[in-house]
Amino acid sequence: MAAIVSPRIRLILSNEIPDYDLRSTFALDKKLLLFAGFYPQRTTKNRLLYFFRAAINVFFSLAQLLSMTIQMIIERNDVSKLSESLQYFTTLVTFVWKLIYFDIYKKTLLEIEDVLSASIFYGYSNQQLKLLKDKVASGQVAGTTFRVLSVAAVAFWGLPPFLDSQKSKSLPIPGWFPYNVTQYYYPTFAFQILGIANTAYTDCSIDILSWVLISIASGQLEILKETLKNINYEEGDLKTVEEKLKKGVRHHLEIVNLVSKIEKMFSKGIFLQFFASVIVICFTGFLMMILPVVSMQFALTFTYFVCMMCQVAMYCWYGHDVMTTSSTIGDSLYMSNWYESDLRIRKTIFIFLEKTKKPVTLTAGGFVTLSLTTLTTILRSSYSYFAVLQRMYNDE
Amino acid sequence: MMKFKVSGLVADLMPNIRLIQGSGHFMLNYHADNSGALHTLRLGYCCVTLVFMLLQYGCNFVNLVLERGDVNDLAANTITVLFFTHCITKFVYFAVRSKLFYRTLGIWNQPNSHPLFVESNNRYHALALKKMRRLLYIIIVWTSFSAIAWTSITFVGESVHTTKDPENENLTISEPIPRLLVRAWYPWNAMSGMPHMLTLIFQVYYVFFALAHANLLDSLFCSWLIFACEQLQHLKEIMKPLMELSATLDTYVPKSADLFRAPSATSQDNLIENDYNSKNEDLKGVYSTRQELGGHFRGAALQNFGAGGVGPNGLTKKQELMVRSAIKYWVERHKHVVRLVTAIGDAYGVALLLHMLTSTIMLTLLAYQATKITGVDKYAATVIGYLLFALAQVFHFCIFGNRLIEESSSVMEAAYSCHWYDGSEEAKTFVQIVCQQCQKAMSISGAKFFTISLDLFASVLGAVVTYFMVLVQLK
Repeated sequence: MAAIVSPRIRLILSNEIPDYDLRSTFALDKKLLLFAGFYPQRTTKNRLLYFFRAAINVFFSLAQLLSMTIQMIIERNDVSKLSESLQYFTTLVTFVWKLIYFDIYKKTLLEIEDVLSASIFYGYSNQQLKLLKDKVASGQVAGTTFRVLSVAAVAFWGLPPFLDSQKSKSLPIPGWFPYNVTQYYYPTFAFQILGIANTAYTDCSIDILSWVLISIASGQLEILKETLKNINYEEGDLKTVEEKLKKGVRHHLEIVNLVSKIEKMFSKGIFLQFFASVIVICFTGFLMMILPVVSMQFALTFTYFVCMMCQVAMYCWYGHDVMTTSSTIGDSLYMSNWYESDLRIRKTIFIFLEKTKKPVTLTAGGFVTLSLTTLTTILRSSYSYFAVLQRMYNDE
Repeated sequence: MMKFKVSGLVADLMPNIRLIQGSGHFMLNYHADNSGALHTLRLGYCCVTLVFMLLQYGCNFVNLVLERGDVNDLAANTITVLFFTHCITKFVYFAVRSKLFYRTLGIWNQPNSHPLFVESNNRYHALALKKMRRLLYIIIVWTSFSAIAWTSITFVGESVHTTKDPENENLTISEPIPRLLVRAWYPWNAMSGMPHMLTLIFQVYYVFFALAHANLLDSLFCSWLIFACEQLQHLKEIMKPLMELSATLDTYVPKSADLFRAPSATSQDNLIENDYNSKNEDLKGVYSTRQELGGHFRGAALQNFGAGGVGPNGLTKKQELMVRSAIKYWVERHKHVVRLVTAIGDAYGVALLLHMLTSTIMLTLLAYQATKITGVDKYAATVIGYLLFALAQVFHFCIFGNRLIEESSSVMEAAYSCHWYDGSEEAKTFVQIVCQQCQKAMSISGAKFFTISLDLFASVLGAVVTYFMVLVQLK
């Protein structure tokens, strides 16, 4: 019996994937991140240009961070001004940390790409492939919506100085500069807007990348469920049936491997994201309460609020999706005609069922499970902080 | 014309279905004659009901907006609007998702059957039928009673509401409003005379039909759950005879000396005579030492597998086929029940989620209203009436959801408590996999957000009581 070739060796043997290449699903985000200088490159061409791009991004983010910190220290007594700065400040801090973790775990991203080219993920019928494509499509739609929302938010930040006569010559976000702002207004404005745009699009890409990867895992689980349901234990000889079952077991192992790599890559970033989202949602909610409804500022705050909610909700949704899909693998296997199987096969089935009892979960920071329950907890905490803030504002 | 025949769940639930169709839900299947004219007529009836419901609901809503100045009126009107929101929601939900309901009703059209277990199947089927009828009667009585109570309480007490005195801003005067079941705005003056009578009749129709819409759908859902539970009971009951079927002839107790003696060509096993098989059908599980050890105690030498057609489990070919077919029946029936429960969850889950959302808000407001009760009067009666009705609706589906959870998690106990250790290897692995599968109880979830069980009801009740206590303290 030929030894089972490991997926890694298969990759080196043939880099050409015959059908739907899983790596093509996140091609756009990969391009954007490569352009920003953060996606790990396998080759060493254009190394300097790559570093230069990354350096510019880092410079923008850190400079803005510094200017905002100083401004906030100056204005620390005014609650409303503080909350206005805090909403962007928190995002910026989270973004910087996410970038740091992204950089630390760069190699894992390349490993994920390798896992995605494993042959066990390919070679399924069109019907099963459709299940995968549906899941990935939903991930991409969510990503596009989120991208559009963040573009809208950046636009809302940039437009008020031009449209609103009251606010002309004011900066999009509060920041301290060592020179007189009105003298060099346009360069400063450009600097801030470029910084915001840069944060927005890189942050977007990282999030969308993780969502698409998680939805790929979820799609593969659906394919596995369909395979297990359709194994016919009556026809064919013992060897063929056993092979089919073993393939299913290997598929499951590979999916669990993929998810653990995704978790290793993004987990700490997601944890910070949750933490920041609680703060931002409560501050943005508070701002929406005190701002007049028909104003540019309100539209901006509202779009920003929707963006943050979207971010948190998407992580929880996809994590929950993987969890629920993986917990029903055993049910799919039960739906086949397993009672016709041989005793030897039943022992394999039994051990497999034991393993599938544990659902595949994604965690943030190792202890917060991504699920809809976490989402409700986050919303509840935001609401309580928001109520406290409101009380503080009313007391002033 | 083809004779209209119904079978399975549709036949069992025919009274429910007829009532649902009568109340104007968009259930257009299950008629003997579905020709164009009659179909259009029925569709027309449903659309007319929908239009009336929406019109009245719109009038309620307009009234809410108009009377939003006064806090008491606002609270009362919001409660009324929310109450009818969930009736309308159920109506529209059914119209939109009727395919899923038809699918669920059609799942049990061709159940499998096995000659050994027909009696048990029929018994539990009859039990389920009885329970479903009883539930339907209770629901009908309850709905009619609520509608009648609502109508009669309209005629009790003064039909007024308080508004600000136009002369003096600080005083409030009571202004008469039409004596109707539900406070609503109408483009005509409904104070007295013919318009009042007609409006009253329209409102009685509206209240009765709205209550019927919501309650009949809930009872359909609960009837499905009753059916699923009784099927699970049937499966639990036949587990024991199934194991005994495969247990016959299997207690082989070797004498240790014989294990080491070479079998001679002439050794004769005490192979069981053929006619022993027929006696085995009426083994009823009564433990008897003679049966276990004496009656089919096999001889000293190791079994001779080739001769007499006795397989490795000690069963004859015929026996083995019988056991295998019984196991197949059991597993296929169980899979069918799982499919039914999944379909029920898909069909009704979102409706339950919407119901819980509106109920939560409504019960919070009712708790607030309850703090303003000053004595045994019309106000107290209406608030308590609303409260009891809302809680009863939640209790209705929670109790059946809970029963499903209990029944499905006790299948494993039943599998374990039958004499599995006597069964053949095949039967034992069957019990193994069944136990694995049934560890996780089957439950209905409200679109994955929460599970329908008595825990849900307890948390809702607890929340209402907490709000009430807190609000009373704040007064």
